[in-house]
Amino acid sequence: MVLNIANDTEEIILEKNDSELVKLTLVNQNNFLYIVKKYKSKLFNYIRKLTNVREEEIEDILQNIFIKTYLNLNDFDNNLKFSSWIYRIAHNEVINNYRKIKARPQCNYSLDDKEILNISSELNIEKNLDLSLLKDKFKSILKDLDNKYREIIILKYFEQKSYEEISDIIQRPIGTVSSLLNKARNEFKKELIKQNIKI
Amino acid sequence: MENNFDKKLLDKIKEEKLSPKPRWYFIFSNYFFWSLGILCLIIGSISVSVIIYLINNNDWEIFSQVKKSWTELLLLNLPYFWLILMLIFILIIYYDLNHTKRGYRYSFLIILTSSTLASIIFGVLLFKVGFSQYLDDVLGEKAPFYREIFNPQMNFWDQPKEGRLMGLIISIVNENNFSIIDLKKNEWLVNLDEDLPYHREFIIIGQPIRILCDIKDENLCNAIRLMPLGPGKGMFKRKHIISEDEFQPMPIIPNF
Repeated sequence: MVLNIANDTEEIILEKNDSELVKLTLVNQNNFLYIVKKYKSKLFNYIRKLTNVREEEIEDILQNIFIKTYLNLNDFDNNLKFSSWIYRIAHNEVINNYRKIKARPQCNYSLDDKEILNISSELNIEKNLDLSLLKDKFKSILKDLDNKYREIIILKYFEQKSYEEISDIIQRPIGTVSSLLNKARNEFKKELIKQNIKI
Repeated sequence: MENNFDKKLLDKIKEEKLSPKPRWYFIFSNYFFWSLGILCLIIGSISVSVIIYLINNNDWEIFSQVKKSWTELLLLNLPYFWLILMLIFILIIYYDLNHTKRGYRYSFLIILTSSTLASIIFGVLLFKVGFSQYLDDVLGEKAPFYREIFNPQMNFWDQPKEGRLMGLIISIVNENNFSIIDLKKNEWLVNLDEDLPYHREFIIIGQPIRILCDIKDENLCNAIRLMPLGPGKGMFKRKHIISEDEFQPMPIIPNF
């Protein structure tokens, strides 16, 4: 069947699932914009937390991610979640840019309340603490955390990914993800204690 | 984020005439990694089969008659080349599987254990059908540095001063004496003690043989034990070691 979106409205297309969007893009490259629209902000925030670099640089990285996604669309495996696949490309791109990113000055980003509450409850942090104080502490701890621990915490608590999704993104076995997350939690807790946060 | 990010991205794709890589490229790449994995498994299995062949022909029971410690004997006889080859190819299988679509889901330990087990199973099968013996014979006959690389047992058995001799039977003098030629083209007269229980069925001209012995005189050895030479016998087919004319015209197989 020839897929043609000429008569479809934007709303209908946006309701389509990722696999269908991939198929539509392979027919007409303009449809790639729907994938871009769907993932642009999510990936932007993910990269920002992961790298802590300037907005313009994040956009460069993001552009590379989308170009690689586009070039490799035929490699997308329908047994995998598209979101895991595109996050994997983002993860690899950030690693590729690691040296460049590391050498650049860092800037601020914001964590939203939901993200803070999510990680606080997971780490059993005292509930009555001031959220804005926690935000600052969390950002400072995340900034100093080892890359592998930072990424897994971001994926699990900020991006709300499951173990299986994280395994598909960082391309490690689920057992490794689980032990990495445990170590990351412990490192995070250690830093919280150092900063006098009660857990 | 810039509002025109989407437009810039699409313009870049159009200007640079980018298009998704064809499906066959990824199918080929996936098949390539699987084929490489299978090839590595075959090489690993071949290594295992030769290791089994070498160890199986080591005659561990005679080591009590050799004046060396077990550790020393083990280190002198381990088939290092094949063990290293097996390990290298098992590691390549791990690296290779990580490049297949789902290979990353399996831990190093699972891949290591399963590929080692598969190599052992196929290695045993190859050994049972005689492939390892065939390969060793071919390597013995043709491969350069055979005794240095492929079969350390050759050096172990080529130590006349320590009472270990290896050679090809070139003539049978009488019931208790025959002569052999070693890899350095030295001829030895082997004397059999009537009181010792030898296996004599392989005392045949042209048979490569290993002998545990006392060296009594120059090029004269009193055999304590006789064994046919298994791994490495191909070396005695090399033309520079022995030519047809060096066999004595006495193709007698005595009836002991």
